[in-house]
Amino acid sequence: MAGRKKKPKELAETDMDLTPMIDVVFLLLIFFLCMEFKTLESKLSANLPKDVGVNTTEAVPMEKLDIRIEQVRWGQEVKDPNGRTRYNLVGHKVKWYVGPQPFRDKESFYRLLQREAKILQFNDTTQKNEPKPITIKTGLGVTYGDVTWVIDMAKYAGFETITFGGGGGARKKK
Amino acid sequence: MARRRKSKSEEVKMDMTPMIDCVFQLIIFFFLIIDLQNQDLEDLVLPRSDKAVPDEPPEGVRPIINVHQNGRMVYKLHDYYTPDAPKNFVKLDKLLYGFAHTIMKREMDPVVKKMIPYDPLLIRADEFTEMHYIAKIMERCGDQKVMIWKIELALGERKDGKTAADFIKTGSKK
Repeated sequence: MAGRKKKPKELAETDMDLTPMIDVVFLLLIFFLCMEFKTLESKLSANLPKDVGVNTTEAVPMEKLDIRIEQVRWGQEVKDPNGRTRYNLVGHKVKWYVGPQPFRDKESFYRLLQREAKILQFNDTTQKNEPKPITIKTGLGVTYGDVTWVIDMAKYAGFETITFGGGGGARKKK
Repeated sequence: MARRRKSKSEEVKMDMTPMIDCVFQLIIFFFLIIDLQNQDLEDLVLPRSDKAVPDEPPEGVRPIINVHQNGRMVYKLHDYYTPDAPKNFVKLDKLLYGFAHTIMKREMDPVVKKMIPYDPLLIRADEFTEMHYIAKIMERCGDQKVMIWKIELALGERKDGKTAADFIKTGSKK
């Protein structure tokens, strides 16, 4: 008969299985805990001259070894294979000058650095005999990588103090 | 003798809700931490080195300038210099002044006889960034109002035989 009413269905109690979710959440947590937040691995220290430029204080005279880096060939700009908006330089070449003397091959450049590093001079500030400080100057088209490479070489040769001198302007782009 | 009745083991349900809450809070915390960390470090390909010392970031705010391959200078996701306006250093100067007077620890320097910043400025640049962009930062650091003289050059993880150390060990012919 139409007058008969339907009984409301009882809501069934269903237990949700939380185990997979907890598993996933814990895996995420472990991932974040193990992740190294520090992406920077290392650094090289260098100084800028305090006693030049607009400063009016007297400079303490000190013998320095001047290294100049000059570009020989800029190289070919090849798009980064990992899809970043940058390029790699293929065939990029530089030469080095120690004082007026040019070096095109790394071996003779490194040998000279080793020789120079053995000549010690007295440092008034530290009151110790130390190798001369190095001053790096760069020409047009020299990259950050070229400079860090020279610093690395100099540190291997035994130099401790690295300073920066003047640099060239912008490279003329084709 | 009266037998002991075996008691039915009761089903005990553990309430997982507080634990899940805590774990989710932790995940949100880690997400935020990673986001804040990445604000300082731009996605750059750093040159490699063997003589570099491992980087241990100091506590608190760290003065870092990221230099992209095109010369764009970035701090905490904001541009402070763009090569589109090559002579506009207003923002960069303000940033360096801010670093020197608020973030960096200042000490009396015996050479210049002034209070100057003694914390280093970390420069992160792409391997193929032209050095003259970094030289611009160094030049601005030497300003009388800024006088940042300690710098650190960021270097990446050593991956293949391209460091100075490899050259020294194997020679340039290999």
